[in-house]
Order: sequence, then C-alpha cells, then structure tokens
Amino acid sequence: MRRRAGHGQRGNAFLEFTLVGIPLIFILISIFEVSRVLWQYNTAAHAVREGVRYASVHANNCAVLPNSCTVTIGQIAQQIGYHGAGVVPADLLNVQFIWGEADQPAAFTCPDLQTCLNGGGPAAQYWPGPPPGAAPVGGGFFQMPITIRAEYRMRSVIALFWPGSRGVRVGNFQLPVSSTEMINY
Amino acid sequence: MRNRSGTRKGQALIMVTLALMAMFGLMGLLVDFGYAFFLEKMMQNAADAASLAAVRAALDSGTGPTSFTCGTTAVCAATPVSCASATGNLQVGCQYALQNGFDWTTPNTTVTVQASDRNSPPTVLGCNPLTHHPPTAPCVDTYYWVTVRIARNVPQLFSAVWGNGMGVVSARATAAIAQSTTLGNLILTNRENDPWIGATGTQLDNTGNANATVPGGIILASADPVDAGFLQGNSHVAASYTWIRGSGGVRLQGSATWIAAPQNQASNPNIPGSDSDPFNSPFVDPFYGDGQPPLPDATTLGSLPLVPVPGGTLTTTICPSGVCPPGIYYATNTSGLPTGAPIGIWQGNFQFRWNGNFDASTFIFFGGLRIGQARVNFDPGRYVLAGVNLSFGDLVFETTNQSFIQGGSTAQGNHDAGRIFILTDERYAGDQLAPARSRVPGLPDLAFGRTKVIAGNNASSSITLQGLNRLDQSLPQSMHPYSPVLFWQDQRNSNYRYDDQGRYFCSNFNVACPQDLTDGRGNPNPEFWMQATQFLNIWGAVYQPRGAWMQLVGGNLQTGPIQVVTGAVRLQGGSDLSLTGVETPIVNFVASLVE
Repeated sequence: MRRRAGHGQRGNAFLEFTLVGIPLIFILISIFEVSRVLWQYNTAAHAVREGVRYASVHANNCAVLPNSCTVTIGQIAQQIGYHGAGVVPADLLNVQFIWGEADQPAAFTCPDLQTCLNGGGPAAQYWPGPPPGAAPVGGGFFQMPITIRAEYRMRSVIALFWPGSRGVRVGNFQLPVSSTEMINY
Repeated sequence: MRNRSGTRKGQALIMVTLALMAMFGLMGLLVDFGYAFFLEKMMQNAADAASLAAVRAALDSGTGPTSFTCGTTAVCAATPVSCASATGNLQVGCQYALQNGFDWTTPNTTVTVQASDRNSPPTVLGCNPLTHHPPTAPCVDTYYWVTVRIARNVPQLFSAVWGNGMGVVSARATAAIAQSTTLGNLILTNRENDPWIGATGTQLDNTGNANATVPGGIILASADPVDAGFLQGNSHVAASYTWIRGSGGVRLQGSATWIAAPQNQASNPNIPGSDSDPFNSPFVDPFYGDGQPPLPDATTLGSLPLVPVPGGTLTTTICPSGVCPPGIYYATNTSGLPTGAPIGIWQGNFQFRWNGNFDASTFIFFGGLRIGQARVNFDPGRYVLAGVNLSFGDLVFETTNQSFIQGGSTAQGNHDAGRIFILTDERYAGDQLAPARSRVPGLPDLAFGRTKVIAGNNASSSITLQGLNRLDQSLPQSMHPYSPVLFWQDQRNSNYRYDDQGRYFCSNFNVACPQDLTDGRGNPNPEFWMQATQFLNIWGAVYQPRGAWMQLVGGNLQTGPIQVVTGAVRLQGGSDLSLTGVETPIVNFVASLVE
C-alpha cells in the first residue's frame, strides 16, 4: 500500500507540474517579456521625446546671427542615445526628422540611430534650423511643430512561440515611437 | 535518505533569498527608475514653465525688449538662489514651479533661480560671432535670461536592497529674451480692405514682364480670395514658399507663373498666425508693438550743431573739405531765415562723418535731402529726413541716376554699424524732434513726403548702402530691434493708422483704418519709388508701414541681400527683383526657452 501510494504520488506530482508548471512558467516569462517590451517602448519614447525637445530649442532662431546654436542630426541622435538607457541604437530604425506633424513627409531619415551616431546618413545635416547665418529652407519656425518618428525593433524570445514563427530564431517586431513639439527657439 | 533530506533543508531559503534580491533589483529598476523617469518629466515641465513665466513677466513689465538691465522689472541673481528668497519676476516663475507640484518648503525638494541681464556676470561673452549667452545655453544671444533648477531626493523602495537608499532627480531649464526671426523676405502687410494705388485687396501686382525671385519666402496678408497676388503677361514669381492669410488666392494671366504654388493659411494647418497673437503672426507687421526707431535723448539733440544751408545747396563752405559733421541741417533764404526747402547736394564730393558713437552721429535734415550729380558717403549713423515744405515739391528723399552714393558694405561679414534713413515729418514718433525743431525758430510746417531712389546704369552712378547691423558692438542696444533696416518710413505716413506703440490702431485688423487727418498732416502719399538697376546695391531692410506701398520700375535686375516690408508692391517695366536675404534679418524679441 505504501509503495503503491508512494508511486502514485510521484506520478501525480509530475503530471501536476506538467499541467500547471509549464503554463505558469510561460505566463511568468510572458509577464517579464511584456514588461520588458513596455520598458523598452517607454524608454525609446522618452529618448525620442528628449531628442525632439532638444531640437525644439535649437531651431531657426539659432541660425540668426549672432546666434550660432543650430544643431545637426548627429547631435540630436546623440541626445536620443543619451536618454535611451537600454535602447539599442542599432535597433532604433527609420528615425525620421519631420518639419510639421507626424503625418508630414520626413526631411531626413537615419536608417537606424547607430548610423547617425557614427556620423553616417544625414548626420551632418542641420535640422530643424539651417546652418548659422543661412536662410531657413523648409520649416523650423518659431511655434511651428516638428516631429521625430522611429520604430524600435524588439527582439522577443517569446515570439518563438508565436503561430507562424519559423525555425529557431528570435522573433522581431517593431514598435512605432513618435514625439511632436512646437519650436521653442 | 535522511542525510539527503537533511542537505536539502535551507537550500530553498538561500535560493529564494538570492532570487528575491534579483527580483527586488528588477523591481527597483522598474518601480524606482520608472518613478524617477516620471518625476523627471514633471520636473522638466515645471522648470520649463517657471523659467518661461519669469522671463515673460519681465518682458511684459519692461519698457522694451532690449531695455533690460538688472533692477526691479528684471530681477537678477548671479548665483542660484532658493525660491524662498526670490522676488519680482523670479517669484512669479517660482509660483509656476509650485503650481506644477514642486514646493521648495517641503523636505528633499529644492527650487532655485538664477538670472542675469546682457552684460552682467555670469552672462558669458563668447562664441563666434560673439554672443551674450547664459552659461547653460551656449551661443544664444540674450538680453535677459532665467535658469530654474529643480531637484528632489527620492527614497528608493526596492533599489534600497542593493544599498541605493536615496536617489536624486533633477531638471533644469533656461528661458531668455532673445531674437526670433520673422517669416518671409518679402512681407506685404496690407489686408484685403486697404486702399492703395493698385486694386484694393491686391498686394503683389506684377503688371509687366517683371520677375520676382525671393528665396526667403513671401508673405501676403491679404485674404482676397482671387487677387492677393496678380501676375500678368510674362511675369514670374519664384519663392521657396508663399503664404497667404486665410483663404486668399492669386491670379495668373498670360504665361505668368508662380513657383512654388502659394499656400492658403486656411487650408494648411502648418501655417501659423492669428490676429489674437499679433506679436507672433507672420501676417502682421513684423515691427508690431515695437514703436519706431528712437532718436537720441533731448540732451544729445540739444547739443547737435545747427547747420544753416543758404539757398538749400550744400557746399564746401558749409562742409569744409566736403566733410559734414552731425547736426541739424536746414535751408535758409537770403535773410537767414529757414525756408523748409530740401537740402540739395548737386555736385562735388561729400562725406557725412561718423562722430565716435552712434547717437552722436545723428543728422537731421528739415525739408528733406536730394542728391544730384554728386558723390556722397554716408558714414554709420541716423539720417532723419524730417518732412518737406510742399511748395518745394513732395520728395523727402531723392537720388538721381547720376548720383554716386556709398555707405557701408554689402559684402557678407564686412559690415559696419550701419545707417538708417528715417523718412518722416517734423513731428517724429511722439514729437521726438521737438528739441531739435525748437532750435530752428521760424521753420515752416513740414509735411510727409515721398521717397524716390534712382540708381544709375554704370559703376560711377551707383548706390551702395548698408543698413543697421546688430553684430557691430557700436550699434546701441536700443537700435537692435530695428536691424537691418536701411530705410524706415514713419508709421504715420500711411493710409493705415498705427498707435504710438506701433500697434494697429483698430482692434479689427481686417478693416480699413484710415489716419486721423485732424492733426493737419493732410492726406499722405506714402509711396516709395525705386528705379532699380544692377548698380543699386542694398544690404538691409526697407520698411514701410501697412497702408503704404512701393513701386519698382526699370528694366534691369535688382538683386541683393534685401528684405522688404511694405503694404503692397507694384512691379512694372520689366523690372526684375531678386531678394536674396540678409544674414541678420528682421527679428522680433520673444520670451522663449533656449535650453
């Protein structure tokens, strides 16, 4: 009896763990993963917001001599990187710099933030204001909107389990982030 | 079995403890850092609002955007001081921090303010070109600035497990009174109901085969749905943008073109501008509310030498070796009495000489100034063309196609303090000329006159004139708002009425608002006539008030770093106009975040 009972309990525990443990672990991992996604999203959004705020105080008025405080895309990218603790620059894709609201076409686009941090792409271009002493060309006027828009590429282990995922690879999906600010200066 | 069981005891405790530390670390990352992010955003908003409010309060209570020195209206603090001891406009800013949730009287929270004017430490004089900037916002030229710093010590909830018991969150913002560029290089301020020589409602009237090239953009304030701009024949307009107020439109006839296509404010949400905020609307006079360029004080005017000009003709007897000092010039008759006739320079070489500083270099011409076949050099300074005696004609300033006129340089980076020609009558802007006029007893009443600038068609019959340059340290701060003006037409010499502060007189900006003619000024003809050739070289701005207009005639290209503000423009006779823009364009002075 003892043996039977002991053997039966062992089987129950294994079965119970299988039935409860695996979904539980899956839920736990999901909670961590969703939290991580939200964290990354918030950080990326915060970084982009800081970038557009930085740009908003270095616009056309900064180009009116004797002012010489206009900034380049590369400098704005540095601000975004600085405020994006935990955001992988190479995963912040398609960073668009827009005169106007988010529905306007981009004036400049970094294929990813890392490219512009390295001085590539449009990093040397002045935005939203022109170079010091030059006339404005497209926007950046006082109290007009500017926007930075990007997509953050999330690499999610849990996406392996998504229906339709193929092979053993980490799933990717992209989170759009965008921030609009009125030109302050 | 017992042994094995015994070794397991306590393992779970250790594992859970280790796991808890890791989890608390993660939760600390999430909760404590998350809260810090949230707090930092709130702080930044509060610091932005506080600094902006402090500067705005100073701007609103000051006498002018560039008149600030440390005192009661603009309180300064060379080092950061707590809001507990802030006064005046700094206290106003602190209240905004308080209303945004940061009370400096509570433990763990500090709110400090720091402020200075243009010339007092810790304002930094640096960068190239030189700017007077706050330590925290390099290379922004400011006239008064305020920096607000907010910090709070935040006890850590979960991160404390790792020994991080207290975190500091802080934010900083700097706002300043600084220059803000105006929109457009050709700014036409008439509205659809303002009359002029052209059709009412039309502002850019291109009647011949003239071309207008304006890379810096065109602003049309007329909301005439059809004719805010009217091109005929083979005329063309090329501008980076043309913005028309409301639902205004343009009409093209023949083979005329307008590139890029004008945009209506009514159909483009990105075009700003509202009459309720005239200081920031591109469709309102960019000098709205600034008043008119000031003259020197009564003491300086009272000490300017009197220069009677017999017969109204300037000679080397009056200006030895052709050098004319600052002074009050007026024509006299054979009896030595003032006639109000214009001062004529018909031949010879003359120089109006700089006298060491801008205010001392003031030249007043009662009766106006006319230049014939002479060489004239205008040094930096003010040139006040103070009305005409209509019995001698109605031109307050005139050059001919045989004049050779120089003053400053139009080459970029090579400018002096500049000069401004103020086209007015004998009672300029609050009767500022009274101290000068009272010294010329018997001077007849003088009226507004027209301006006619004609350039010759060769290098020895040319005009080269440079307007005010605020980058030059010898230009007084009071004149900075008027840089780069070269010609300033009195706001009273217009079909539209301004008040004494330079604001539109009628509260409804869309109505015609005629001058008050009861003061005996008569019906003005506020026209500026410019017969341009390639030998007309101007660097700066030509300003006329709303209700005035400009006629551009001639068959040659007039191109240069010019900004034009007027009510309306008529181009005729195949005159080509190319306004390439000035590196220091007209600016407004605004309270703005700069960091």
